[in-house]
Order: sequence, then C-alpha cells, then structure tokens
Amino acid sequence: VSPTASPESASEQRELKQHVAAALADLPEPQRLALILRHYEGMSFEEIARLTGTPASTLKSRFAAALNFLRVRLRHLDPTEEHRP
Amino acid sequence: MNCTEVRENLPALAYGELAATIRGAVESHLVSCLACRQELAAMERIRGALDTIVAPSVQIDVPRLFQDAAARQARRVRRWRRTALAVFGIAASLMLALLLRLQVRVEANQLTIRWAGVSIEEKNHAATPVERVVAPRDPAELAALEERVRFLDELLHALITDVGDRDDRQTERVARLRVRVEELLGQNSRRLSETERNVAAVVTALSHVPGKGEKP
Repeated sequence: VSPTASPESASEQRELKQHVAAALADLPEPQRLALILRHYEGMSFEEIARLTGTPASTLKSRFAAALNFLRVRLRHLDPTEEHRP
Repeated sequence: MNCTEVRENLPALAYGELAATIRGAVESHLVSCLACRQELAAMERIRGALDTIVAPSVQIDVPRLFQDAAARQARRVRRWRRTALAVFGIAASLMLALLLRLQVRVEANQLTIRWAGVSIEEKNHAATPVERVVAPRDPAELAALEERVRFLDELLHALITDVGDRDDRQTERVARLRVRVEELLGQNSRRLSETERNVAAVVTALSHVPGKGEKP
C-alpha cells in the first residue's frame, strides 16, 4: 500500500479484507487447516504433515484446492483475472 | 515434467519449499509454458490477498493439534513396547521349553543327554523302542530346575518393571514438553495482540496528526 493511497483504494482494501475473511470462513475444514497453518502460521508442509498425521502430498493438494477456491471467490475483485464462464 | 506435475509443485515452489532436484525442472517448465506461469501468477495474487489480513478470524486450535500429535506418538510407543514384551515373552518361553525338554541323566556307567526323549545313545539302535523320561527323577535336579524357573520369572518381572519405569519417565517428559508448548503458544498470542494494539495505537495517532499541506 503506497503512502499516498486514495480513499477509494483504502475502501477497496477494506472490501478485499472482508471478502478474504468471508472466503476463509467458507473453506472446507481440511483445506482451511492446510492454508492457515502454511500461510499464517508459517509451518512447512512437512511440519504440518507431522502435526496432523496427513501426508505432505495430500496437504499440498488441499492447499492448492484452497487457493483455487479463494481465486474463484475473489475473482470479481481481481482485474487481471479473466472472467471465465 | 508436464503441466499437471508442475502445478502440483507450485504451492511448495511459492513458499520456497521445493527440493533443489525438482525445482530446476519446474522452473525450466515455467520458462517455456505460459499457462503454468499464469497459474503461478494467480497463486501469487491470492497469497497477496491473504496478506491483507493479519490473522484470519477463523482460528485453528493449534494446541489441540499438538496434543493429538503427542497422543499419536504415545500410541506408537505403546505399540512398540507391546511388541517388545511379546518378543521377550516368546524368547523366555522358548528358554523354559529348552530347559524342561533337555534332560541330562547320570547313571552308573553312562551319561545320557536327551532332547525331547530321544537320546544320542538310542540313535545307534533304531529298532529299540524309545524309553520316555517325562521328568527328572532326582529331587535335587528338580529343585535346581525349579530354581532356574524362579530366576527366569524374577528376571522377567524385573524387566517389566524397568520398562514400566521408563514409560513413566517418558510420559512425564512429554507432559512437561506439552506444558512448555502451551506456554510458548500463549506467549505468542499475547505478543501478537500486543503488537496489534501497538499498530492500532500508531494508526490512530497518525490519523490525528494533520499533514504538512493540510489546513487545520
């Protein structure tokens, strides 16, 4: 965020935050677990695998699925994303 | 490497977790494949969007996960201990069987060593019916045997007690570690909320200071 951010971009930012939080809440539990532990807790896939007893490959797939879910949910906010049917 | 394989590895690549051996192949594919590059770029945008919030309002119970992991480890240890005890039990039974079936008899002019009633001496006379000795007749021999069985029994009990003690010590250690982990997690969340308060305070302070060009 640039220091000279306009009020519009600040409100856009707020809107994005709300959408991200809502999309995270709607994620299926296993995907949310993989995403939050990897992205917010900064744990590696191997560490999460040891902690949850789930194979790292499964966690990576769940993580990718979670990102795809968010991508679809946040598509309308991303001008670079193509609007596919 | 094809597009499917590359895309499976993109999350690990994005977080710098990809092993050097695979990373080369993924990166060289990305150079030549526009679709996969776009996929990575989309992933990066989503990560950027995730970064707009500090921590999600949906919390994960990390201490519970650690507890579950500790419980799984404890189950593995218990399984291993049961196997070890079973193996030891079988070994002890075999030794006991060996002691009971091996018969040594000293007679007037000969020494007979028998294994399960078949003596070495009798092997030379195959036609002769096998004389079966069920138990040693000599009371002294019987007493010696009983003594040996008692010794083995005591040994077994001592070993079981030792394994139990080790288990208790291990359990205590795990409990101490768990407490420590919970302390650290508590500290972490305290620090986070403190930082959040500080940031909020700074933001509030900054929003009240009028800019240089602004009129009061």
